[in-house]
Amino acid sequence: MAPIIELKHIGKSFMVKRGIFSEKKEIKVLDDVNLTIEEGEVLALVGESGCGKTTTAKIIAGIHKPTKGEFLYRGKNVWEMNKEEFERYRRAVQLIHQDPYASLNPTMRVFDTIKAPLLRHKIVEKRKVYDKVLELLEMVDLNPPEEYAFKYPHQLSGGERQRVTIARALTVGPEFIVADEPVSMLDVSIRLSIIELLKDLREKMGVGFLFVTHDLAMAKYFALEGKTAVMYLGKVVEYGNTRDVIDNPLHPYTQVLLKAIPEADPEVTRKKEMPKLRSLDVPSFLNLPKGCRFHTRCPLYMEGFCNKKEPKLRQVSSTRKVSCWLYHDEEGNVKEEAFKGVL
Amino acid sequence: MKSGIKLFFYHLRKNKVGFAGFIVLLALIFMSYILPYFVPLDMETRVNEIFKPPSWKHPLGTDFQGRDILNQIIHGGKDVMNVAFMAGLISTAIAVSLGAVSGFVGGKVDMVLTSIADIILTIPHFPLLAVLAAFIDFKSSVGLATLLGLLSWPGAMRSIRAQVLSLKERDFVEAARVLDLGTGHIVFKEIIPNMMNYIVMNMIFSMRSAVYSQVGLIILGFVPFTSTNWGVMIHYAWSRGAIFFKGSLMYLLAPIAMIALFQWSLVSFARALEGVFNPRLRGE
Ligand SMILES: Nc1ncnc2c1ncn2[C@@H]1O[C@H](COP(=O)(O)OP(=O)(O)O)[C@@H](O)[C@H]1O
Ligand SMILES: [Mg+2]
Repeated sequence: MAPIIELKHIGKSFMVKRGIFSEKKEIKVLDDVNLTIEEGEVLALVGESGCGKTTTAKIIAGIHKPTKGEFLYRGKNVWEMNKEEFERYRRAVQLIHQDPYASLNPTMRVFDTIKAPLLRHKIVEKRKVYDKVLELLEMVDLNPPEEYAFKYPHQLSGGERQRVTIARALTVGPEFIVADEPVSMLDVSIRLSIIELLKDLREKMGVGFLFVTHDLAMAKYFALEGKTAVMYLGKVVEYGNTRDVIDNPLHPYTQVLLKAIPEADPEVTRKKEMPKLRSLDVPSFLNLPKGCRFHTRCPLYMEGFCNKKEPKLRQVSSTRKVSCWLYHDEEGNVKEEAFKGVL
Repeated sequence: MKSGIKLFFYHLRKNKVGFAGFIVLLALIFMSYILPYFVPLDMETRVNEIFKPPSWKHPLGTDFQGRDILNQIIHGGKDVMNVAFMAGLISTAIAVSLGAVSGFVGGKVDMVLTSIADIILTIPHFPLLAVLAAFIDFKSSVGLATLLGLLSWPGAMRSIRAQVLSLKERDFVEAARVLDLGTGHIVFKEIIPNMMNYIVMNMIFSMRSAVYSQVGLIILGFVPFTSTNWGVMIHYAWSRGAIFFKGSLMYLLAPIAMIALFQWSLVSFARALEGVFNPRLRGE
């Protein structure tokens, strides 16, 4: 059976205009992104801000049309689907935005927001819609639901709003949820409870997830049993089981990201020996470095190699892919000695 | 939960000037639409009472034919308001529907519609109206209102289009797209309610400009209104020389004051509506 989500050689460019008089320029935000997500699987997409995570998320949610490559839902190219197939895909894949202050219509009460998809897709009869709305609000722990139902978004806290958007996504009974940094805009104190809620729903309903985050610790927490993809400047640089990626990061960029996570034991944190970045500046999409995109910052940079050719994401073990000249050559032959004793 | 009407007044009253504007507007509407049923129009010529200064019998004096000015003020507002309201409604209806289509559909449709708007926008309206008035016989105010409405939508249409363009990129509209709620829902439930204050403001401002164009045309005599009308009063006050008779300055000033008051009440009411339409500004 085909995987539920598949990105094949996806590229996405935007036309941007800098200044009034300058020409429009094309920026390639995503370049040759390949990802496969199986039914019910959780994939964490990790990377610094601005690396293209939201763009990837919105391609999977069907908001952005890729400029290159194919986006498949259950083996079918979403942008070549007929009306029925597309409607089915639309209901199956839902999106939770990063900013709950922008993703709820300020003129609509919670009840109307959740009612709309229920009636539109005839999920319940009109006379049962009130009960269904309350049921959904209860599911996302908005208690008492009959009180929350008639509030406007501005009367809710960020966490409560995000719960409403989760309930809204659940109206159509999705098979797959794209959660774009769902807690990064919320108070630290309530982040965990929202993550717990999503985990809970995932376990109860077997929904698959693309969980976008800039924080590897969050990826570890949410997708420990799943997969993790690390993105740098619009490319996936490492992919594997979350456990493996976190315990034995291969790509120098993943190693650097991991360094940013403090350990519970400060003694361990201090002893962690991690390579230092060559530069703190992230190159811009308008001026990408030649060769490997990470070479300007890479602590393990190899002169005359990394700045010449761009590596591709290669399978280096049965479960791991990485895009780095340390681990494979141009033909994709794996340099076993590079991770002796690691894998 | 407060009821809709209670809420409306609650928020309206928070803006003092706006509330005053609303009260004045209500008073003007009452005076122009209700009062005429109790005070019959009296247009009989009285040669011995021409251009009398204000008195108990004629609180605002009399005109060049000895007719009571207050009586004409009471009867002269309906026409002006009818034309303003109809023109505003027509102009806003066109602006909202074309602006929404243009901004939402985009592409060629957008190009064609904005070009049409631009062309109409560049035509100088007043001279055009003056010329048209020579060919078209504006027997009723409906004709004039339609023409004013048909000419005045492009400005509002462009600004509504811009609003739609920015609103359709918002996350909550994206969410509605992902939920496949359909174009109708997105336009009428997600986008339009979020620019309701904008639409009402636009309507009120186009009413205001319809008053100016209308009164301007009448004063200059391009539109031969025979009925009693604030504009017609100014026209006669000017052409029959009220300004030369010290005692009857009122014939000129009274209708001007009424028009100014009407315009002011419209604009301040529009400002106050902001708070009524924006639930975020509501403090419940
Ligand atoms: N609609 C757009 N038009 C132009 N540039 C965009 C657009 N959306 C995103 N970008 C650019 O693409 C890059 C990646 O953005 P995004 O996917 O939002 O990153 P992330 O979610 O990882 O922070 C950024 O440089 C951003 O400025
Ligand atoms: Mg983002």
